[in-house]
Amino acid sequence: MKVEFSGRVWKMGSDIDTDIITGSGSEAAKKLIDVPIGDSVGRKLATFGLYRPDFGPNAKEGDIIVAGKNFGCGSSREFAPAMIKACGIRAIIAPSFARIFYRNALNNGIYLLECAEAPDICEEGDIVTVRVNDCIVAGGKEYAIPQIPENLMAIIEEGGLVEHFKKINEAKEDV
Amino acid sequence: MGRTLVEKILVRNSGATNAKTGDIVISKPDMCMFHDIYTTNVINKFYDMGFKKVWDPDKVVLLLDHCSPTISPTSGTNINDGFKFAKDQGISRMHLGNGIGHTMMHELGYADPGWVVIVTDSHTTTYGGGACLGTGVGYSEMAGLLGTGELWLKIPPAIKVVMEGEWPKGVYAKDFILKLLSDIKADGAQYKSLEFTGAAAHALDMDSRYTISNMALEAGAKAALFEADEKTAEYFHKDYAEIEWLHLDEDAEYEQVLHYDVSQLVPMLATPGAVDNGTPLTDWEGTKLTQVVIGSCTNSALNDIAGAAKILKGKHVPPYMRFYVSTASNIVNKQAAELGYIQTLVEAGAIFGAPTCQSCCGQVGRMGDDDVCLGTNNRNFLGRHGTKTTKLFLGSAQAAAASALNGCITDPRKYVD
Repeated sequence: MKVEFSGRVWKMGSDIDTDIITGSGSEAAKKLIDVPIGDSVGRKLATFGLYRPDFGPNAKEGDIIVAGKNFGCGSSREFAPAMIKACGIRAIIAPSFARIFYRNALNNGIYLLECAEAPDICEEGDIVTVRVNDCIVAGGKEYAIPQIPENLMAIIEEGGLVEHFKKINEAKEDV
Repeated sequence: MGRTLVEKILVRNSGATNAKTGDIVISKPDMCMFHDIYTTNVINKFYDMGFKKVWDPDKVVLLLDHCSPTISPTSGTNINDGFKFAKDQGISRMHLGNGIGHTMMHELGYADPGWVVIVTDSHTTTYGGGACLGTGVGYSEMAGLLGTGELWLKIPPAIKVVMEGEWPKGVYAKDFILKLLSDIKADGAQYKSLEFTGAAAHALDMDSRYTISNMALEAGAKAALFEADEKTAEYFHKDYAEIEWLHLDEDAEYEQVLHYDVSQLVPMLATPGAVDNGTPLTDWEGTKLTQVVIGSCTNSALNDIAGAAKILKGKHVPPYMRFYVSTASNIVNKQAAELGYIQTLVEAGAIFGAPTCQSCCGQVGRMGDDDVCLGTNNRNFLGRHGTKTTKLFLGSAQAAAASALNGCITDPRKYVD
């Protein structure tokens, strides 16, 4: 199954922690106090709220984040990838990802692609193409990306971990 | 061929006797825990996934510590949903507001040596102080674990950290981990198991080991394991023979070996905005402070409270100093009270909070543009505790006490003999 998509780049720095991602301390985050638990869409305006206040209001479906090393470090909060997903982001490209964020993002259906050259291959606003389990294309050049482990690819293709287990449990009930 | 500690623990837990570093195993956690930031999310996902019954209610702990006291309307929802879930599922291990989760897990026998323990929290690596493989996951993964009793884990490569030499006066576990973080950086142990050995590691008391394993997460570590010894056995009321297998094999393959002579260490501070940018505290001596915090899962155990009390006995912090102190648990509160430390700190001007996460997770004690704080926490990220310009330095409980006393960053070695 070939998965290919293109999107507009949002460029971020290195060591972007999950406090930065969830907009801790931002004006937008202060407004979240009454948003119901589990409502990621209701939280989207606070995404990167202090670090890139222009992100939440302007991120569009299909956009792509390109960042420096160690993306998603710090707290385990799954709100971080959930809010990024609610903003429409389909993939994040970076030299490396923090491990809990990696698991959480894939479990929320976001493609995480390790590319050592990521910070140098494109600029904010460029269009980048992702060919999952093949390569990324930026500035007319192709860059290698690793294979996503099979067990995790299945989860993303099903739409995330909730959908994955839902299918398994529904199948059990039908038996 | 020897095995690393993380290999030993995951092989034994999964039963995959031929597994080695780099292989994915299916672990069956010995215990799991979630807390009051994620309770409702975990429960909702569990039922959304179509699960009805938790796989083993006796392997589930609900430790409600982040939002105690509550900080918003949704804190109460998380707590109430937690109690309802526990009732529906027959979960008896419920703890509300009487301790920080990462401390209570080992205090109460929920994070024993050699176990695999999974928690919806990054600092789960703390339990490695007691040779327990603790690691963090998100709320979706926890929901899946509750339904199946299983979690896939890749056996990570390991970095051996050999600690030798005598600990100098006024230099503590916190200073060591801040130094290690400044050397290997925020991704220096990404996806790895840090494994601690050497005379200086064994010289540490259990609380100090937990401090180091706690902050090892900030280098990206998947696990942070101290070799088990007699102190571990005594803490857990076991015979050493039962946990002897949790030693570092001489012929195990380590990706890297780091050597530290602790006698060369000095008091360290992580400087505002990052945890891996530590420099000697003396670089910042004299920096005026508006707030000092002793608390968090990193440094609020009995040894930290004792260290602070010894420095502040018979003295008083300046009247403007917001000196917030909270201990790791009610067990620590009681011990500290019996030993007179609470009285000493109250008389010195400490403002006591609940034995919970308090200001560390940014829920209370939030600061403004011009605030400068020294805290014993494990994080000082942008916006977490205040505004874009709030400054939070991270250091030991002793550095915090000495600095609170003088209203500015102070070398604790001046007060320790």
